[in-house]
Amino acid sequence: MNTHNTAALEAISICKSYENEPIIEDICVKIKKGELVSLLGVSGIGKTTLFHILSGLENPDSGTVKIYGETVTGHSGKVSYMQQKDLLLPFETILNNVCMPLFLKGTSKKNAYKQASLHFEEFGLSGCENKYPSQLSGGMRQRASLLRAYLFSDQIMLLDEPFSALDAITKTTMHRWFSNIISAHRTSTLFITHDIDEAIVLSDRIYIMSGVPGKITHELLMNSQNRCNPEFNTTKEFLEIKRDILQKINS
Amino acid sequence: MTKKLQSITNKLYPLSFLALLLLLWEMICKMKLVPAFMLPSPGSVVKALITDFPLLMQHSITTFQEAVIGLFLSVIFGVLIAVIMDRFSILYKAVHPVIILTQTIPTIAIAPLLVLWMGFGIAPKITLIFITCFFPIVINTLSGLRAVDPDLIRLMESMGASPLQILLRVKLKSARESFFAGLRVAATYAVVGAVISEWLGGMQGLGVYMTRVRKSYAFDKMFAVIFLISIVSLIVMKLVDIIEKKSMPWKYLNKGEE
Repeated sequence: MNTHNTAALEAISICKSYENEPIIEDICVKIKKGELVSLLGVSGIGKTTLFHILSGLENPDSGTVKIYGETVTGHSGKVSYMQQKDLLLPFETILNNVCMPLFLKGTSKKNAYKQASLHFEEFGLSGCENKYPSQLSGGMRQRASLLRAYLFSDQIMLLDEPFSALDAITKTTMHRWFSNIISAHRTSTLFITHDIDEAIVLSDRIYIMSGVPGKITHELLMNSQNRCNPEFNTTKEFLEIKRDILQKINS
Repeated sequence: MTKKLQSITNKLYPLSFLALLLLLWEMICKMKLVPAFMLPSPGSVVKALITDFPLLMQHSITTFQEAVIGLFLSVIFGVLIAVIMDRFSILYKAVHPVIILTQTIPTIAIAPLLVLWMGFGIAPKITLIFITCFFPIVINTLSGLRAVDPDLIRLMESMGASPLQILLRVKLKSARESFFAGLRVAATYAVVGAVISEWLGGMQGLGVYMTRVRKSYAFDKMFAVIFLISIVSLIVMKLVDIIEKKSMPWKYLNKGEE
């Protein structure tokens, strides 16, 4: 199979309803290798439901999830998953927290530590190895949470509003840092957000979800060059994209 | 440094209040407001404590042993039952009301039955302690297990964790905090439970000693043993505290750093 043309992650006409109430309908999503795709929509549109299906935690009523062409519908443990809440274990040190996916796979403590410690500096966590989550700031905890997700799988990551609990300034710093990490590792990423600015700044492509039940109504291609410009979010071009998205969400 | 000073003054308040109470008590006895045979003065209680000290130590050790063994057994079974009840919701629905129901049975009422069934040895005492301590441990551990964030469990599942891995790596560790809350309550029950069970028969223990001195109207000795029971309870509670601090270092971080 030619992996160049195969999507890293592909969802084909996913439908899901709860108690006869359709939540999402006919969702088709495709993420190429190394691409960062955002899923933008208002709260309660069914983004998280879609994520649970993509990560294999839930079965869709109909539809297929494929990873590199292989059908994995309903199988968890294939893609890494990160939430708005950092979900670090308060009783474990940061090192043990980020090593959790490795421990679960049966990696020995020594090897897991060795593997994890290679990334502490890059993730801005040097010196935090033996601290507990409560000793870290919100931004640092999200970094640790992301490192944990990364150590589980550096191939495909699903991020469910990972930065929405952070303050605006921390968020901007995190965005810059995050897009560097993602592009350096060519990790394929699907990013849920309701923050339009965040989607524009970070994404290669944006899916807009709206309606009841939730459907993907638009798909926008972003210019990846813009991401290198730290002041992009104050340009006229940025505002035009934003206006366009706002119209599409509300239509 | 100021923190340390503060903790000393914090202890100073209850200590001086206690001293005041004792002083008041001594004065009441000195002024003969209450007949001496009904209320011995603190001084005579201390005197009784000193004269009977070797004997009291022997009895305390017995009571302490019973309390610790009973507590230990209730911890083992309590945690086990809590884990099973958490895992199987049918069992939770079936057993939970029954466990609550057992708490409405007065300990003092079943104690003589236990003596009838099991004799005057250590067995009925351990059983009684077990019955009283079991409850706070099961209930607290169970609520700790059930309080784990479902999103956290979902995350662990998304990383391919088995139910056993989730139990060992997340649930049991998360439940520690509320387990210890239960254990602290159970620890005080254990000592009191031991004394009550000794009232009804036995050769050794603070409860046995208490019954003897009460029958001979030696109220100074009676008060001495009451003090001692409080001290044994405090020791057991302190032990629980020490174990708690050792096993949950992340909870006591800030205190440790200052």
